[in-house]
Amino acid sequence: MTAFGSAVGFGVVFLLVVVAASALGCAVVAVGGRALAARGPVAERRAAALAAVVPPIAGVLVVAALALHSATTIDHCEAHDHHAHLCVAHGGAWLARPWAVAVAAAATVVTIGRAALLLATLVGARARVRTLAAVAEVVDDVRVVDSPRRFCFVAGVRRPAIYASTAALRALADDERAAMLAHERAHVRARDLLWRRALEVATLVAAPLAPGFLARRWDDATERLRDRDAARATDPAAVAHALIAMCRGEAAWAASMNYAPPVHALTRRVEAVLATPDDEPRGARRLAIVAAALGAAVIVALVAFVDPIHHALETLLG
Amino acid sequence: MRSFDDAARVLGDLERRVMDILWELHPLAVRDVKARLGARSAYTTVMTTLDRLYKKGLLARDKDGLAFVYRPAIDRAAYQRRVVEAAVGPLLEQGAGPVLAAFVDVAAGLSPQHLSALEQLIAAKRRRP
Repeated sequence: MTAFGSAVGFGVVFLLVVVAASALGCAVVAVGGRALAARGPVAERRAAALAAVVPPIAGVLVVAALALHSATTIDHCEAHDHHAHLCVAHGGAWLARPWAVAVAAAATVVTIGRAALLLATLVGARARVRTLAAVAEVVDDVRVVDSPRRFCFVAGVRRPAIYASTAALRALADDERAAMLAHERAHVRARDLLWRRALEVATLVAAPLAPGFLARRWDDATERLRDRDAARATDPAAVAHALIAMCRGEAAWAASMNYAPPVHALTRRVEAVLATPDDEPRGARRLAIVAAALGAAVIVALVAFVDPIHHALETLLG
Repeated sequence: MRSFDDAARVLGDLERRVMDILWELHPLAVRDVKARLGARSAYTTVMTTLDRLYKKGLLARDKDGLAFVYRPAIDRAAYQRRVVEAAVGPLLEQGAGPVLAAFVDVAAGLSPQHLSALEQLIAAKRRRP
């Protein structure tokens, strides 16, 4: 039971760090939205990815530091037994705190629920993509599906493939079709779906609403980034025209579903692709350097102040 | 009776082979379908499969003496189109996400007026490069 109690104690600390860090990350991404947008979609994407990935890493580092500290320092637990100990050997007292057990149990249930939902979505989608693959005709690197709906997308993580409908290919002029396929090929080259799934997994234990918020930011930035790649490979106006032509086909469908779309989404993409710069702004690289420096500083601080952090967390939570 | 979307999703291997046989030649009685499937399929299995396809709305049947004869209720091309629709709809509604990266999200669909305004924006951009 002691080991289980220790797991509850360290689990609560992990949760506290991850939830606080992911909420902070979302706040930074939201408040700094304009500044990030000025630095381009690479910076926006990187900020969303960092806000998703850093919290669980920080949680693991803090728990590892505390566990290592408790295992390697002279046992302090007997000196003050007025609170539960973050200790690998004396964690049984956490089980006597119903709130800690409840928090650990609720976090476990939420995480398992999120994982199950993700798995169900992926399994269902995989079956549907296989259905499309079975009826598609392969033309070069594109799987052409006979359908009256206009669509073009990349599916698959290990072997990503482009699927395009006959309606979409017929609706576009040659240069627009080339632009659309250049956009999708950029997704394939960059293995965007693999990174997107990694983002989903990284946010399984995150603050409420954080997974959806960060995923939307990442998706929006990624689409604008691939628009930019396509614009550089073809022509910005062709990409913009292709976006509008594809939306014309789907607008009727959206109306029939009584769906009120966000008006700014396509407008922002069209404006961004028309303003495609020749060179990538340097802001994205600077953001990565700042994030790496901050991460290193946090690790150094964690190692240097592990004892007071340990006691502070025991007093706060125990 | 289940919806066609369900049927498209769960058509098994034997069901698909039975449909292929009936699209080639119809109407057929259970014993005729069984003969074309080969010796490995039991009569009752074929009868159950035909009945299931009938209940899914993929086959129609008429009484011929004491037995039923089956024929497709939908041709192969129409079936394929509906299978594609059943697969594509939910995929596109998910839009960008962990499943696929769509060129345009259906959620980005705008009114014709907005789309025209965007086209004017592109034209203006082309006029002043």
